[in-house]
Amino acid sequence: MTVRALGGLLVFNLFVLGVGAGLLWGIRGWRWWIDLVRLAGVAYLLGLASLMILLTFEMVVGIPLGVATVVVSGVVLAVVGILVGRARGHSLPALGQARRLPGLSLFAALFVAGIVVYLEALVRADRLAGIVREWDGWAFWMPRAESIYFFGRLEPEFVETLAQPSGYPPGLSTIQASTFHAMGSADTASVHVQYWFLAVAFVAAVAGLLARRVHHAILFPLLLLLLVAPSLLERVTTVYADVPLGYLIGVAALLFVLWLEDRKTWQLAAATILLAGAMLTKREGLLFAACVLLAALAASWSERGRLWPRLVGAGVVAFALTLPWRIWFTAHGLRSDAPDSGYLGAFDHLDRIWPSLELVVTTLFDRDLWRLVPFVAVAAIVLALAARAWNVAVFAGAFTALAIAGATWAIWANPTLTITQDDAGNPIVRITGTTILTLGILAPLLLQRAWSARKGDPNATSHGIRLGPDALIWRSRAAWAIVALGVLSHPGSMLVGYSGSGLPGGAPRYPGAADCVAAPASGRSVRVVVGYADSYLEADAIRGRALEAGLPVAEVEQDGCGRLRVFVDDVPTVDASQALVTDAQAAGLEPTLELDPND
Amino acid sequence: MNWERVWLLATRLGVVACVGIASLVAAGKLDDAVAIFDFRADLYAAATYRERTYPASPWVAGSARVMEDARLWMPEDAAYRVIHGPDYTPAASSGFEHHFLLGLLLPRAQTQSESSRWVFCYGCSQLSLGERYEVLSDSGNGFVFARRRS
Repeated sequence: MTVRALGGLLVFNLFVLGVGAGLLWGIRGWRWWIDLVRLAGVAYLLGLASLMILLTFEMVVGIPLGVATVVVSGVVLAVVGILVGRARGHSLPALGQARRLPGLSLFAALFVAGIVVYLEALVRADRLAGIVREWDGWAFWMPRAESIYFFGRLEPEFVETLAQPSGYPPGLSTIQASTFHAMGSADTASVHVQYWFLAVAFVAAVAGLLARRVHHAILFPLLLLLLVAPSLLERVTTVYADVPLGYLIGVAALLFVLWLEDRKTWQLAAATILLAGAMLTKREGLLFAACVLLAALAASWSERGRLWPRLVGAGVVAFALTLPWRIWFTAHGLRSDAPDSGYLGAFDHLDRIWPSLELVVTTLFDRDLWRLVPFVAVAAIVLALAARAWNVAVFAGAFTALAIAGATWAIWANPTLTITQDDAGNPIVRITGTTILTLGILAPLLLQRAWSARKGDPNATSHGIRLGPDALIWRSRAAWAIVALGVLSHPGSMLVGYSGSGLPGGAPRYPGAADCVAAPASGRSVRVVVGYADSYLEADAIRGRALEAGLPVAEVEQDGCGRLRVFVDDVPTVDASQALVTDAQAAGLEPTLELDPND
Repeated sequence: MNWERVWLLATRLGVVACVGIASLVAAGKLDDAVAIFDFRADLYAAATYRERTYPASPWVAGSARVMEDARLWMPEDAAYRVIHGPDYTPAASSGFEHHFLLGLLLPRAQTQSESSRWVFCYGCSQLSLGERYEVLSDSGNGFVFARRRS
């Protein structure tokens, strides 16, 4: 909750971006720096997933996770990327087109500005969020991340006492522990801001991958529609793994679709790393990774001889990257991340299949949770099929069916879960979030393909953005002024100190120990505070010194802000306190006067 | 009639409909989204240290004052035990209290060892804990934090 913590987070996330940029240059390369700007979100997610994979591996082989480990691991990954890039003959990028801002229509600019305002509001909500309202946060995610932060490793005995299966993947926890190191403490409030960086990276990745393929008038409204889904609003600030899993699976799915269209190796390589990251984020990651891969296999049926070996290879590599963790928890005899009834025990509970399926489908199409996202996505699949844009349409359709089947199995195979949307009894809403995030970012591509594909056109999947002269209004670089207005909205209202617009006025507040200090008032009783302590042991020492200095026996009590106040109470006035203050100062203490709240 | 053109037109009308509806809903609900985030931000900013640190949740039974005292009493290398005393009533606790203490008190370790110096007890009093323990913080409703006398 301090500027120091936020600064540390910023540095850490720039570091993750740097790691990902190195890797992206290795697998893709880029001619112009503007390409890196465009793909910064993808680079960030690549950096994040690859750090998760490497840090998990290091923990498994006994290398303690500390600042040095994180830094060295990131540098090694970036250097490997650069070496691969050099070996592949990638040239150094040039400034080139960077000087030219791409045009934006007024219509699209309004939605880009809306997304910016959304993200600015999100960082406010994240900054001081606590974990006390987040059950899984205080019962599982934070204790595990804090344990890694304090001890540098996962103790089998410790993870066995946590609320989730002890074989639950630790990738996200390694990132959370790294953010604690970056912040300088296990600050469970500021760690929420890490989730803001993830959200920004997700939006940037989708925009970067689709901005040249999908007309902005399709892309940005649909992206905003996804972001304002009520269930996402509810969970986007929580320190759970569900939303990060959705980001990784969604962008991996998008990269697979693009690979099916472009066949560029970097897309497959990046998707593979993101899938491995997803599998290390949450146990459902394995399930959704399988859905993505099977959907890609289905979408490439007509070219199975050529494409399937590469897709299967990608799946094998992604799974292999998570194997060290699986070996570790198996070797330690920990409870695996399999369902309650085991992988085959679900067949003892066949009566749960239909209720589970019904719950999954009603949750997926629940307007109170997702508004129109699933409906628009299904319509987009139908339209893309009608336009014979087979790759993306079959992929999205197959993914939807597989995700429904997979989620049904997850509910059916865990008999302890009640058939309800209530999060206390069933995680179905959180599970469905991954499907929604994936469909939400596939929908713009589906609609673009539906628009630009022509029946019988051999180039039905071409990337040309043919949406008429231009949607609603011609593109202009001047439209960026609207985006700039969005960028300045929150900082502007804070600077001006005006909150009448609904945006916050005034400077942000940083809660601290000073909140629990009451200034003395003339004519009122005061306390002579001889010191504050972070433990009773320390407080006793201060009290002893005060006693030696001739002060009356000091009291010790919680100050309400995480410290102990050591003080002489019931001093009638400020003037009457002067002798005590002088004595305390003579003993080397630093006494202060505070209002006696019992007066 | 050129059916292919009709088909294309119908598809494009579908795209326009999807984008139009999505745009209206997204733009209309952005204000709600920002209001929700701002509401949460104001709520968190107004919260006290105690409200931010200790859940007012039925899942976490126990007094914030006692837990805070425990945090301030135990050194960072301490190990503590969570036990249930004779007056423990499961209805008053969800059974998840030890999970909360686990994260709150790190890097201190939770242990099952009876030789542990520090103890949380639900449904206890000084009397039921016995002379072996010194109660350092008492919630007044059976939740106590105690230290074994050396």
